[in-house]
Amino acid sequence: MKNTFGKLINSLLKVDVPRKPGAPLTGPTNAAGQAMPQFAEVDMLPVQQPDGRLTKYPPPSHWDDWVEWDSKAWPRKVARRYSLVPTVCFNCESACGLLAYVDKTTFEIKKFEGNPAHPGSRGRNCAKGPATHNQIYDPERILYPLKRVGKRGEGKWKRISWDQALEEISEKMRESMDRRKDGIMYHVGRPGEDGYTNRCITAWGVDAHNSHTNICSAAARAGYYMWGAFDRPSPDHANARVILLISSHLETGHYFNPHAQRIIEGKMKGAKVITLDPRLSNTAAKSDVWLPTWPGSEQTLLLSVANYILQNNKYNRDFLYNWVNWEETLLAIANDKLPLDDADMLDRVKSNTPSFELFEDVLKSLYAEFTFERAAEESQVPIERLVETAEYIANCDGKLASHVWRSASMGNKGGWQVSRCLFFLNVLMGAVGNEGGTSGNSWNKFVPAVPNKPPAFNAWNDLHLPNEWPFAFYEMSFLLPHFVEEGRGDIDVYFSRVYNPMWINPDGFMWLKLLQNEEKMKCHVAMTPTWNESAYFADYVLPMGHAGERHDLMSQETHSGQWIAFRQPVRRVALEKAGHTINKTYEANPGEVWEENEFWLDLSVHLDPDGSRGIKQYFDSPYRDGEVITVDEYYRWIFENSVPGLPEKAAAEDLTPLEYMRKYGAFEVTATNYTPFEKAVDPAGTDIDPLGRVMKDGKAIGVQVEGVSKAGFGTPSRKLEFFSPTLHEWGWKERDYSIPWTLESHVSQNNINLEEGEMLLLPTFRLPTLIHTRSANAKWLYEISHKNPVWIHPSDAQRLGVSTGDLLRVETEIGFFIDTCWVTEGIKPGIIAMSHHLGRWRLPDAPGIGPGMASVVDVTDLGGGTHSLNILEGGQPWETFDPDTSRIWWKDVGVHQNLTHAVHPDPVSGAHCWHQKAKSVRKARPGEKHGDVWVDTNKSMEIYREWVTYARSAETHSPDGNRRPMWLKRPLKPTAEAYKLPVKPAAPEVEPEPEA
Amino acid sequence: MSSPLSSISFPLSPMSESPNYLALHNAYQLCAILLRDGLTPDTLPYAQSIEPLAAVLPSPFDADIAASQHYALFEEAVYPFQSIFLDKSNLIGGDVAETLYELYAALGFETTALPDHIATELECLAWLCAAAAETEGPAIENMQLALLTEIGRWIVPFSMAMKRNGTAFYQALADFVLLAVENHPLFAALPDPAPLAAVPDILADDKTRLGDISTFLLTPLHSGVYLAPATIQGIGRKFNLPIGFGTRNLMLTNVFRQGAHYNCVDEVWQTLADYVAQWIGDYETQNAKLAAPWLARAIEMQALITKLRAATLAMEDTPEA
Repeated sequence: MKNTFGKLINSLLKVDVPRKPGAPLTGPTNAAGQAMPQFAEVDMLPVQQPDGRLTKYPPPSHWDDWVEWDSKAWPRKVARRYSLVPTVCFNCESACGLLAYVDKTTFEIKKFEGNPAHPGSRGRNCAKGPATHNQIYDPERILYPLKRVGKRGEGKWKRISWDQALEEISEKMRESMDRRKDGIMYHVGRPGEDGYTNRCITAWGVDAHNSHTNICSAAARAGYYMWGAFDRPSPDHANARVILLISSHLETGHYFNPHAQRIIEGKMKGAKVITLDPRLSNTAAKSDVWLPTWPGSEQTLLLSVANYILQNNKYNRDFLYNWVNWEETLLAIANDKLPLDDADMLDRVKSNTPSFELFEDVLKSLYAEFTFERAAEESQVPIERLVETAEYIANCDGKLASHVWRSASMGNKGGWQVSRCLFFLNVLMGAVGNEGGTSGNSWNKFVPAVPNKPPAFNAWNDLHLPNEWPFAFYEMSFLLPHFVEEGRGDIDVYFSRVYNPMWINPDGFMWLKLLQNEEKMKCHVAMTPTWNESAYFADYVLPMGHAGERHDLMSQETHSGQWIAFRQPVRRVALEKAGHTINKTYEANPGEVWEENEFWLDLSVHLDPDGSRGIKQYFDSPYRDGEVITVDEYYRWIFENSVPGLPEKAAAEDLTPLEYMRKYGAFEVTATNYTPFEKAVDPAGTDIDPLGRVMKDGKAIGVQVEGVSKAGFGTPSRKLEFFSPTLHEWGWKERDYSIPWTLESHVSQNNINLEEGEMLLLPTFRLPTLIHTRSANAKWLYEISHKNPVWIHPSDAQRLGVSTGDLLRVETEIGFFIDTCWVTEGIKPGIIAMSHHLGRWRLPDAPGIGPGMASVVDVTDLGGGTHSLNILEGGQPWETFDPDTSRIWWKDVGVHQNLTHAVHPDPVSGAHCWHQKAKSVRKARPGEKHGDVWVDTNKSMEIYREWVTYARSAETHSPDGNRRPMWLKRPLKPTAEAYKLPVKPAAPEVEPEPEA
Repeated sequence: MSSPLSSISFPLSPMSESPNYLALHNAYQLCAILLRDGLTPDTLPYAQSIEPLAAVLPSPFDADIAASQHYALFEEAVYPFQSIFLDKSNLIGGDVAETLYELYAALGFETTALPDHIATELECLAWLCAAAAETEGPAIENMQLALLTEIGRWIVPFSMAMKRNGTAFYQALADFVLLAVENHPLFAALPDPAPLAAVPDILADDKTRLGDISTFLLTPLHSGVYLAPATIQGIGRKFNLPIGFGTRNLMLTNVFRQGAHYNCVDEVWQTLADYVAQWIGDYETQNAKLAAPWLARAIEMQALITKLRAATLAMEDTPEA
């Protein structure tokens, strides 16, 4: 054997084997006789938490001086001392807690882990939380305020001071404010805070707030709001028996980390998870029942479940009797406001005294048409799955946690009825605000009062909320370029804040046109932590901090309790703990990256240096006469005055409330807040009106339920509104709108002609590790997912003659794009799907997103309203101080599909209905390249105008002369006077033309 | 802290022939590269240079498929760490890794890789052979023996697990690695390995549940065998048991639980007993010096299965703590 082996390996002598450099066999690293360095051990503290929090983490008592081995020094054991500073993640809306490990020697941030003291996330994070570290140490990040020096979009910038930026921008704002109250626009992408910026804007006295909500969650909000005056669901997953999701909420979506852990808790206790999704998401894969619905059929499916519950008397009679506006509904039928197809039933309602039993019969009659057979046909889901779903829900004993946020509600025309139909199931089961049920967001989100709140402004910006969409939730921001194109107005100073409008909105070339138009958009200030496609076309680029570099206060409805969390600039906090004096947060951040709190404060004072405009008074210190408030003082006031229980909790630890929040980063206001609508109302000074409402000072503050005055809901009736008088009064008189019903989607089976080669393009899903347009500076996240191929079913792939990796040409209503395809049974036949995060790009020789995360593209105005975008180079490695940037191994960084999406403003909610009709899908031909995009903006405007005709304007439908129902939410509400529709000048009398 | 080498003393026998340490360096280094990186366009020429491996190379070569096969073997099926085979926790890191770390420090071998990965150990052995090609004397031989002792403690069950779960190429690589270790010039000087640490009496603990029994079986130090996910899935499939997915522990626990629900837990145990018997048979064909402790442990396991079988039947309806 030895000889055989010897012969065998002798042949290896010829092989050029890499040889480890000859480290000496003896020397400093040879431990023979040498003692290794010794450091004090710090054990992780095991803690058993009954509420599911992490059981091992550095105990808060050690946070000021925590010792860990330096992982980069491995295998040597080198101890590093850290100051652990809590903050709040800024990479989605969940506001999960983070714990920054700030090195006490260098004050560099070593890593971010979870904050175990945070009641929402309970120490856990998704991949996006720790990736904050990538963002902070992004080699391409913007470190100083920049001012454009060449033409807009030319890519020439000069560094300026913060003082210069404040002075010049405030001067432009003052000029605008002297002329008008609708010339300044603050367009916010990720708010990431509660109240601070809105307070500043309100103090300016102009209608400046413009949000991204219409491309995000407007439809679901509208549907929920019409039920109970809350615009989001807050499901109690952990205690549910059935968890019904129209989303991929177990792996992605808003609040997904706090929700996912509670969904799993519910599942561990035996809850069934049911998921509606045309795509086999990770959530669908982990569900007990997956319902792959054809988009737009969700309402029908939900109403078939409602019908089953009704016909089998499985609903909660007491809840319906007490909390649904059934009397108002019967009255509407009797007065022909709510049509019934069943003539006998209509006759019964008209000829009988209203009774709850009659209402029950009406419901059974109304929804009898929603059979499982119909739902199966429309949704293309096997009928057995529908029956199984209905039985699970009907037997959930009132413990139904349901959720829709974007997904079907934001994909389809009429999608707002998805959330209305979904919540209808909660109402039927009495699963509203109870343990294991679904609450309104405002019951579980705690927003404290702020100091010295300015009064409402008296202004209305028609570019934000034009009259065509009186029910819009909220500003119609994605149509801004189309409004300007039509000549509806212009903008003096436009702040894009953590937002990339030309990339994320549909019809991006229309945005490009607007951003390049210096007459209509006179000054563009991009406030962004990282370069983006829109910032290229700004006049000022102001670098703003990531999580861990800024102050903010946040709360979200993650579960049945209420909490607040405090985002902190962690390096500043650690430096101050070490005795350093920091005047402005940019002194502690990389370069001169600032925080918005201090920026808005200073900008507001710059706007009104002598107080003559009445702005400065709202920025006076509550603690020091005549001085400007500091960020510390702002939060100190809130923590001392408007967070119940916090001062006492802090005092118990011998801390001030501010010190407590600086130490723990979060506070639990209440562990549970079930059924707040049941709370008794103090009857003193109240009257009961004929509708049973409890009135005080002319306002409804509650409702009588079985003779007791209770708080009820925020609706006009103070009850859950099955029939919506508001929708009816404002012109949506058909049954299909005024009660939970199904509305035909623009991409229903009827509207997609598969035989002619049309398909449905589903662009609404997120990848769990990405953050809309802000992931591209997080190398860890991009390594996990960086491309967005077109999902296509094998049967469609076979029909088109493509296989995985082939290029597909997808033609939309306004243009086309070319992308690779991924053949998978995870998508329904007839549908193609594409994640919306990817396809980032940068212009040649322009500053911007890292070369590994963005393609270099050529953007060309082809004339006649047509535009193209072509990829010159894909992702590639590049040399920086970070060795990882030279290790980029991927080239495909996705395709920017949103450029080819036509705008689809929903006539009621104003939401952009994201699903697109793919007019043709075929294999790419020679010469067609990956990433090619072509768009005709003339067609964009045609589609826009077509959809505007679906709306019902307040000008022709307002019952009270207002632009919008007063009780509907607006991010910032102006005065009642501003709500009034402007009186149009009388049309000039026209001389009749002489007869020929 | 004293050097781990200071306590090592081996009776060295004179070499009958002068070993070609440079060739040995190449052999160990190539094994390490192929084990760590698998077949890639860069490593393919190395595999082609080793005759027994060249004979079983996939043709045509597809780098994607080769990468997936390497991943499937070492990331999903057989974890190539000494800790997995010799640590009672069945986790990487811990005392076993610390021992290796200290040994490397004593040898002066610098690496940033996990110390108890098979490739790291072979890299270190290759590095020592390169040094031995230039240096003679008991010091360098002692160093090699110290490392060979560690490798010898687990190379047999590891190579057997690799053969059971790998493609033809990895089966041949497993043979070659074992052959290379057994043909080290100092192999004969290795002392007989110590018996494996005694197993805990899990049946004496009334808190033992199915999950604990699964952990026990999945720990080679205790069971003497290696149960890969495919093996567990195979048992489930044999009896049409829904075993779910996830960790091996979860799957094996599910096999027992579902076996109880579907009245075939006894058959499940029989299948496991047959599996252990196969390992016993395989150990008997291996180099007796290296295989002896593992053979003894597998035989103990066979006896224990009878007791465990009775115990699980008794606890099948007891809820997990």
